[in-house]
Amino acid sequence: MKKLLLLIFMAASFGLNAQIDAISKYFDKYMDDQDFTVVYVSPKMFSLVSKLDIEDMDEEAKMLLKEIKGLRILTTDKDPMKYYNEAMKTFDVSEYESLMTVRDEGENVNILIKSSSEDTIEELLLLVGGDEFVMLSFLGNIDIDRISKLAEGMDVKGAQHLEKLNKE
Amino acid sequence: MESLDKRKKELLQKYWEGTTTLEEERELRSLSSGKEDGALGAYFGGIENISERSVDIDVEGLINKESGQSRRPMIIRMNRVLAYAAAVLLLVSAFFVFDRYQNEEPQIASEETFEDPELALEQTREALAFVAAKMNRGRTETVENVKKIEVLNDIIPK
Repeated sequence: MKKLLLLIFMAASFGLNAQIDAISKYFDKYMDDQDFTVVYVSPKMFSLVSKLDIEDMDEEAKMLLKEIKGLRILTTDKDPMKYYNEAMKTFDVSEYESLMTVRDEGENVNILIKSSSEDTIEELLLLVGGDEFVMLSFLGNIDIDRISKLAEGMDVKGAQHLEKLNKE
Repeated sequence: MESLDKRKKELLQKYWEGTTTLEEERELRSLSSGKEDGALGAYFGGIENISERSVDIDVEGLINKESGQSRRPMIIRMNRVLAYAAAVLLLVSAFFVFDRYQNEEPQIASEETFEDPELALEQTREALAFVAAKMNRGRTETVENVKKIEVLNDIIPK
């Protein structure tokens, strides 16, 4: 009885921690590596961002911004496929739902989500392996429809932003 | 009479030295049970009574009753209480751990990239745009593939 309860307790604790720790550790591992561009926006910073008076943003995007609680970006153009494969092995992708997988012109794109309910996601993880390796993670309580609508509205702008992000 | 006294003295000496046999002790008791023996008679008479009374007490039964039926179940009950207490403690701990990771941002170790919220906003917009671009690319691929399949459907005779 005691052993069983102990096992349940340990399994629950490890299960909760393992995936969060895996992502956190992976980012932290390359944080000081000069070959990587690392971005981290904390929940505290997002609470400040949500208070900003943003004029050039539609309501849907503003709502989406309020739902986001954390952002991490990790990019490198050195040996990108090595890091892409390493990331795919590091994270237990079975814990995520695959939203989209694209393989085109030597680039692999994986968009993985972790749902908290039918309409909301608690994490969106984007992994890109091609000319560069990109790992992007949004945390929060995000309405999946808002991301979808945002994507539709950013069809042209998105490409421009993509170039900007790549240059940095 | 003198020989009896001599025998009694002899047995008494052996008795106090602790070297008498059971047979000799019985003999000593029978020789010393008379009233003329005074304190010695009362002593041996007393021993006789104690030994008679002790026969009536079921010492083994009492031990069994004490140890077998009373104390052991108490220990078992205590163990169960401890087991339940430990189980409750574990569940409460599990709840707090779960609650903590539900409400707390776990990525404490990382350093904040931006000090200005405006810059953080700009970066977030770029990140969202990047995700949107990748999603749209996936959609375009899907639509193109569906179109190809539709073309194939038209070619293949039904």
